[in-house]
Amino acid sequence: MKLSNLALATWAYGSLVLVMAILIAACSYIVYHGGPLITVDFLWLYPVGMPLGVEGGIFPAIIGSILEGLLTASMAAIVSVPCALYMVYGNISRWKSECFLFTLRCMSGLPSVLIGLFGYSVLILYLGIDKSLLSASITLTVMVIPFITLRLVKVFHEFPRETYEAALNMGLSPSYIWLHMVIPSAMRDGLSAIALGAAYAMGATAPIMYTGAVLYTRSIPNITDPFMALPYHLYILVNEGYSVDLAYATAFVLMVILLCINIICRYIGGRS
Amino acid sequence: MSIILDIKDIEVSIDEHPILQHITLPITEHAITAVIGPSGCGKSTLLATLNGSLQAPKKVTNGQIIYDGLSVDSMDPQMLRRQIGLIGQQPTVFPGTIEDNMVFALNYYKELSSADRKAKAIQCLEQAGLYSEINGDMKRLASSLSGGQQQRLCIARSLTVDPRVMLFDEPCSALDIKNSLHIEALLTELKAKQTIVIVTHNLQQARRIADYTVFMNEGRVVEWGPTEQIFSDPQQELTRDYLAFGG
Repeated sequence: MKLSNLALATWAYGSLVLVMAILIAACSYIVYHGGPLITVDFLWLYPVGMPLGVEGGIFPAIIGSILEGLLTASMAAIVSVPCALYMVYGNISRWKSECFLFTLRCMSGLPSVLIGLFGYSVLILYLGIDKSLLSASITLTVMVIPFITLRLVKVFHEFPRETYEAALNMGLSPSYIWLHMVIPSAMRDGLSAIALGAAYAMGATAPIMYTGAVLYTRSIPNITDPFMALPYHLYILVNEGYSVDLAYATAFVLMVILLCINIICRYIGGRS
Repeated sequence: MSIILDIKDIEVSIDEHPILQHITLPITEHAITAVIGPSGCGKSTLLATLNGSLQAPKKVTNGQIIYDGLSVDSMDPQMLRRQIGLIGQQPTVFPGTIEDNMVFALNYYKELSSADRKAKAIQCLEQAGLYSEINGDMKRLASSLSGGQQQRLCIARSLTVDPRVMLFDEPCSALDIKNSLHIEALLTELKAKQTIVIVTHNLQQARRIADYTVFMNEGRVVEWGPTEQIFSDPQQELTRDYLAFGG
């Protein structure tokens, strides 16, 4: 093997090991510090104590985050799936397609705090919607649509074009082929893309603190109520210096929820 | 025999650059018309033009195609493709079982009851000589069939929507001689009910099965006529040269 090839292979392998090591170290650190604090009470109780959150549990934040993730994923899927299908099968010119992709890539790179500011300006200030689960989810949907759409475009590109055209050549409508052949075939990877988007949304703090997240709620939120969310709760625990240990425990719960979402989506997609 | 497709002075271009020029051709009903010519001469583009499946940036810039007395421009594209089916080079089975493939379009059109759809699927598989080969096992995965069987499945699947014209773009290019002969026999049977247009590089195949042959070169029809006349007494020098070198 040439020296340059050996160096490149070593660099590639070393990078892989480094990435995996960082990932495992970060997860292990959270599990080590947060794991022992996970109790039934922590998962099922409302936050109490003075300042609020140093005792009790994070139940409303867990529910809030799950509802926020589900709502965001649903709204994003409703827009992203047809958008990606149109980009792949819409017979649009190469120039237009490149423009769409460029716009999506630029949008997916926008800082989340900027999306939060946009959501706050448009939804809260301009449209007069109260800070709520709905306005936070709409803001997060704007954030994850490019992320999900770009992945779905890749997923739909993997479905053989010739098969799609063979169906078109029998006089079938594109929408029928999309619904009964392309989407079912892409279900597993498509759901994974949407789940990743939901996980991305559930981990974001900046967009929701402007548009819906609050320090404490007395009950499970309706769609029009402000809500507690795990990342915002974690942010408050650390930022206000309430309890770093409880922040690790909160992060641990968030990590487990995201892992569960991914596993469930792969299971559902795999069965399809 | 009557003319089912009348191609009148068709031109197709990509960004002002013509790739089909002044194509005028009658397609006779219940006959097999073979389109031959060197690679890149526009044979596949001609087929795509006939059933309205040309894709951007290719577009028809002149002329018209009359199908059964109607200009295809005035027809609903889906209806046109149902009437004029197109089958490509590679077998393109749909995901799922043989039955899934066969009832896919029937489920869309919803013109038959569930039992009749299955009966229609079996009838088309029998027509393609595939039903006995799979021993009636419609639950078998379509992708588990051999290449030749998959191509016949694609033909059988197209037959389920009762097209009047079937366009074949080199349907045997990926098949061995035995499977090619199977397809040829099938096409010869099909012409009793359908009109067949086949693009092929195999001159012997064209001679064996086609009633009419069209020779194309550089986007133009050089010569067309009854197959025997084209092969035994070509009128154009280009045709003679092409046939002399065996394509």
